[in-house]
Amino acid sequence: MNQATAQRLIDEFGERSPGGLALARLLSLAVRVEPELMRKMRLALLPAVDASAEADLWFSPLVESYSLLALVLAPEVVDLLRQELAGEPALLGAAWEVIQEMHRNAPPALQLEEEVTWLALSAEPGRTDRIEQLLLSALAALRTDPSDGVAHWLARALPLLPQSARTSAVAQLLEMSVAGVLNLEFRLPTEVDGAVLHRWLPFVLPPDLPELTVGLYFTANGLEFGDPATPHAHSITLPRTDPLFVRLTWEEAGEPHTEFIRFHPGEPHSVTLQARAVELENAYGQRWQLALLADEAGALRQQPPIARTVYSLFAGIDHYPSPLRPLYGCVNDVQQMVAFLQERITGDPFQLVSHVLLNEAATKPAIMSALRDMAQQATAHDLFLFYFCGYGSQAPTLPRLAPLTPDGWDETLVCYDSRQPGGSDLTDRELNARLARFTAANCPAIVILDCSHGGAGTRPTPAPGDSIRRAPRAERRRGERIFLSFARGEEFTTAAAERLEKALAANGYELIPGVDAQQPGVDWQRLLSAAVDRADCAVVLLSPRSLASEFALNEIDWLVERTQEDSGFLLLPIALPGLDTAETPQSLSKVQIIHIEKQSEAAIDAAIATVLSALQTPVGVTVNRERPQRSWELTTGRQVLITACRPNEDAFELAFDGRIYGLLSYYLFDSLRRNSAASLRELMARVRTYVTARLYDQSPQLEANDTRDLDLPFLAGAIGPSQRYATVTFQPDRGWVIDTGALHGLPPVAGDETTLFALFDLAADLDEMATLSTALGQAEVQEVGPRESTVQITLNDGAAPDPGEIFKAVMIALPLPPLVLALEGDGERIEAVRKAILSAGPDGMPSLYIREGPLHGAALFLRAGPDGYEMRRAGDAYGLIRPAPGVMAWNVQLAVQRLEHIARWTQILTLTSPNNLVPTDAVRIMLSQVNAAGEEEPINATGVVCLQYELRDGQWSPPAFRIRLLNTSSLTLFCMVFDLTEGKAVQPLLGRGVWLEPGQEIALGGESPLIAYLPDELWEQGVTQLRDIIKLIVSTGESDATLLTQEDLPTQPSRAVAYRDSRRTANTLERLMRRVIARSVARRGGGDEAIVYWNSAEVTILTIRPRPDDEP
Amino acid sequence: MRSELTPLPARSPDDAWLLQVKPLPQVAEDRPSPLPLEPLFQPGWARALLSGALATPGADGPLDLPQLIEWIAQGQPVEWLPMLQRPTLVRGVQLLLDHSDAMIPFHKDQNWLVRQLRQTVGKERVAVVHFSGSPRWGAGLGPRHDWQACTPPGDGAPVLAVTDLGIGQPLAADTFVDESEWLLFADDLARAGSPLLILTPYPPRRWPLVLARRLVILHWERTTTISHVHSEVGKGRQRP
Repeated sequence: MNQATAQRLIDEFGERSPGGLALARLLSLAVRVEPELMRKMRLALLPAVDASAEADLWFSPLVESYSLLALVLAPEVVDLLRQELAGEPALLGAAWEVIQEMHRNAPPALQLEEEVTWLALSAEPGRTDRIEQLLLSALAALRTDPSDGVAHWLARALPLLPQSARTSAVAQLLEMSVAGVLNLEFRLPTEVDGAVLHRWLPFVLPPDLPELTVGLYFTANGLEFGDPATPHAHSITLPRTDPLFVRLTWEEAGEPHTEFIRFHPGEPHSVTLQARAVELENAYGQRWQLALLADEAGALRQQPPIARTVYSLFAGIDHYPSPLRPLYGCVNDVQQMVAFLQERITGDPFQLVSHVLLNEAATKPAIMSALRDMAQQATAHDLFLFYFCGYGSQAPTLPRLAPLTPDGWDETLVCYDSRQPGGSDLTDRELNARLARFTAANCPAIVILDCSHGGAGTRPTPAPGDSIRRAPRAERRRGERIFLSFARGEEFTTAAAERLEKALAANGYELIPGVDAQQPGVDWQRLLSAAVDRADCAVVLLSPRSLASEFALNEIDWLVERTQEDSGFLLLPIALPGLDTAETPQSLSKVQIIHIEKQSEAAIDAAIATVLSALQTPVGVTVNRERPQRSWELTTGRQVLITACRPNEDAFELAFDGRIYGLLSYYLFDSLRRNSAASLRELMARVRTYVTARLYDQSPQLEANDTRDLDLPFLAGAIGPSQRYATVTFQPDRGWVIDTGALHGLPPVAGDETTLFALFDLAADLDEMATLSTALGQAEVQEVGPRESTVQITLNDGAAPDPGEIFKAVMIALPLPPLVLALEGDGERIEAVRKAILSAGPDGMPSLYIREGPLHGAALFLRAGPDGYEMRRAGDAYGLIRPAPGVMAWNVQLAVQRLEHIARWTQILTLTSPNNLVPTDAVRIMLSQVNAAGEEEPINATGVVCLQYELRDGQWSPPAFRIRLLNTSSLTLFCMVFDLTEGKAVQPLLGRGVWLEPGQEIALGGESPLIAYLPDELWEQGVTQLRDIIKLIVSTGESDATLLTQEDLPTQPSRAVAYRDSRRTANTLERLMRRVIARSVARRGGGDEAIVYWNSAEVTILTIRPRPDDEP
Repeated sequence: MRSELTPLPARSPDDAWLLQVKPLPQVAEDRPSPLPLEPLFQPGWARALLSGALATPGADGPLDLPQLIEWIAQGQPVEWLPMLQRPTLVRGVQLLLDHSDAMIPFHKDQNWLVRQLRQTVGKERVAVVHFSGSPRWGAGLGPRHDWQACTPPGDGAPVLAVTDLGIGQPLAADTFVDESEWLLFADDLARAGSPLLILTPYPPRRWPLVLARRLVILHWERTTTISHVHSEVGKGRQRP
């Protein structure tokens, strides 16, 4: 709400209830207004005003929140009311006396807040000193408070003080201290002078703030803060504030200079100066001197700033040649991520260089070649991303390499040509060998593999319609491929080569011939690269003639390079007679060379025997044999690996909004789109939460050689922020177009279901866009494109929109298309369900919750089992319903009602907001387990949280736990929490919901811990695990969580009509929630309906009750 | 460019002055006590106002001598003693408290009223029942899902409903109380012989006209006097 909106609300309220407004003005000094205070104020200062003024104020738009106990006025309104009150000093004094008397037993913090407010508005002598004294007492309390109570209070109270108080130095100091105590991101105020910060920071910084290592080095232009791995960089540690803060002092031309540097973590920062030495001091007071070495001091000259390139290689394969079955989402995954990065990596200093290989282009040589090319260009300033979407598998390890893989299987990526004649999978060893080139160049690499890996997954055979990215193991145990190189045209060399070829072929080896560089019109470098990449080892015949050729010397260098990066690659050079040892290339100095001393067949055979012996000798590498299951491993260097699942799980593809994506890729994209600045750790925690909430047995994995890399954003912050608002403009060829599309999370149009935007003036700010009544009109999305979408505009005044106009657009309604149901099999029973779906909607129309569709892309599945109808969600096994023979098992109406019930449950689970105006982590879900002694132990609330029954006094006791919510944002937010049970019930855990102020924390269930039960009835049937998904929706407006309540799956067909509800809605989120349950509610709202901004988060709780065999 | 990094002694901040500041206490020195609530009725008048409003005619006054003499003079047998009528609280009262959101600002006043009534009428004669919006939608004392249809108290006991009559709709209210709800409820009570009185904190200018004409409504405010209460209740008794 901005000032103009607040003023308008005040004016409108004043017209409707003059007494209510007069009361509000007097009460604006109070932090909270209890009914008793309101009554006292009215009777004491407004005796002519009746009690209805109290109710008018209570329910007025001036109120931010209310409960049975008290109300709180909206901060923006309070500011204006206080200004008005300050203009009447007598009333101000009288109101203060009433509040002071009524709140004399209130907590000291509240009294302080009200006194500071009164002082700031009054003309009391010495008020500035008194305000400072009060705020300093709060600072002292903050430093001595063992709990976080004072900090939480200050986090809420400081922003609400009158401006003159909150902009004082002490107030700003307090604000920083609070962030430190609450472990909020330590944001330094930008408007406070650097010198002031430098003086205060040592007092207010928490001593245990995480530290960040920052590289520091001189450039020709001055000083550069950046990557510690940069050549000649030194490392200093800075407390992790945002921005980071450093005091810099130096002398230039005899003059002392001081600069206070602020820059964001993960971003390089340059300081232009001409000095040989600088002194640096961090926010803790730690100091260093950085001085140029004497021989570098004269080299200062102007140079352009360093550009940073994000090299990215994408491979996505859906159309594998037979015998592999096609996949459906790999190309979608790659295209979506490429388009996203192209759009968001646009700024200085990062630029994106991407190489995309789709389907038949994604052969193993093409991938290896692209990796090589990019590695040649990458430097320490750059970043590398490898993104693979396709089949993962395993291939038998070559006997010689058995010591590298104790289980005898290599992890592999299946390229387009891998299972074709002459082809092979891309093994982890080969990929790591190529990635080592980036490591060698100090270029950090991130590898994302959206495919299965490791041994057999959880599903030996995927269910019909399910798509799993695991190919059968490569069964053929092929021989080693040997690259043979020699100089043609020499008689003895040719004879030796031919004899060698025969001997190798006779022993089962496959030969890859060398490349004839003399052949015209041939790109020999590419051919050579492909040949070397295919080979497992190489035999090179060295002769005076071959070593005279530049091509041959290059070839040797390539092969030596390969041995250096790949411990499994064997290079066997054979020196032919006549070769002077001194002529041997320097690069071979560390390679054992086989010598043929004489030009004789016997000498050749002796050399061949040595070669065969070397080929049969296992590599001398020891690996950890205790690893239970192999998975992808990281090479050394700064490498981050993200895999779709654990080795014993599978990577799934599922349908989202009608298109199929890999589960990892979809949620990775979704999470990046929402918050690209999150650390990798936070990013993957969200991805894991969503993936595991969607599918029980897929857990994405994140690993890094250097764990500090996990605290950096994805691609080191190269991805720029998303636009906060969309705009709508007229394009002559397309009509009205909104600059948001699938890349920004806009769901596709599905029949009548589409996204609605409210339109505002381009200059409108967030507060002016608070209700639909202030909107100029609405825009309905017609067709969703990747970046832009066409819309149809309707203006509220009925006028035709002016093509020259540009509108700001805020999303107000999401499409809720029916879930796609696949009916498996046929026969009368399936046909009966089909017919029932077509008449299950209002007035005998088709169901609005489910519609029939093909197997691939379906979200729900139904089949006629032996005992009744069976149902499952995509990716799950059948078992949502356990039909009991004869008990409604074949009741068609019940089956359809259950499907609609599941559809609603699924829709509630997947309800997400496409915009980020409320940060995804604004309210944090915190879990703790409560032990028998009543003590709490925090649980990491990411992904799946396991709570197990415990054996206490010979009995299995259910686990007790607590869920807390902490508002980490600067917004007051309304929180609704739902338990989505395995029985497909939706239960609100906080009643209608609660308001949380900034910094406020609440526990669900009050004092008593929550208990995770697994009912005896299920347990006796053999069920040992139950899942509950805790979903949190936070919003800027109040809705009613109970709207989404639904019970367990029905056991009897019900006559109740789900399509109902015509009550009025307060805001756009509530309208959406009503529509989830009752589709007949109109998509389009109007009037005073508020526009609220919202976001959601989920945690899955797994309750485990051991089997009866484990009972004592 | 190659350089050399040398650590320097750290700067030590002097925070002695801050340690001299007295920290803000975290709890109040005095024990917190409930805030005093100024009642909506004029203090001291509440008992009289409630008695006047809730008393019903009862035949427990002194002997009606003129009537007795007349029966004897006419030679009629005297089967029972005629007694004079006088207002009485002996029938007690059914107190219906509106717990809809609209009455949140007056929640504590409702509690105050319960105490006052119990003192005035007698604890055992006050039956408190909660409802939300309209008593016809269900009423009871426990959780809302256990509420049942509101039943008249019987024996001609009056019903005092404390409500906003649907006037004070909060912005987020999802229910709408139609005027007919109250008219139908009053009819139900009339059939059962129980008079209905409405007590509302909203002033007469905001009462729905049809309700103001047909029901006995009292304004819960300091301006309400005893004579005003008698007048309104009397008018109500004369209505058909």
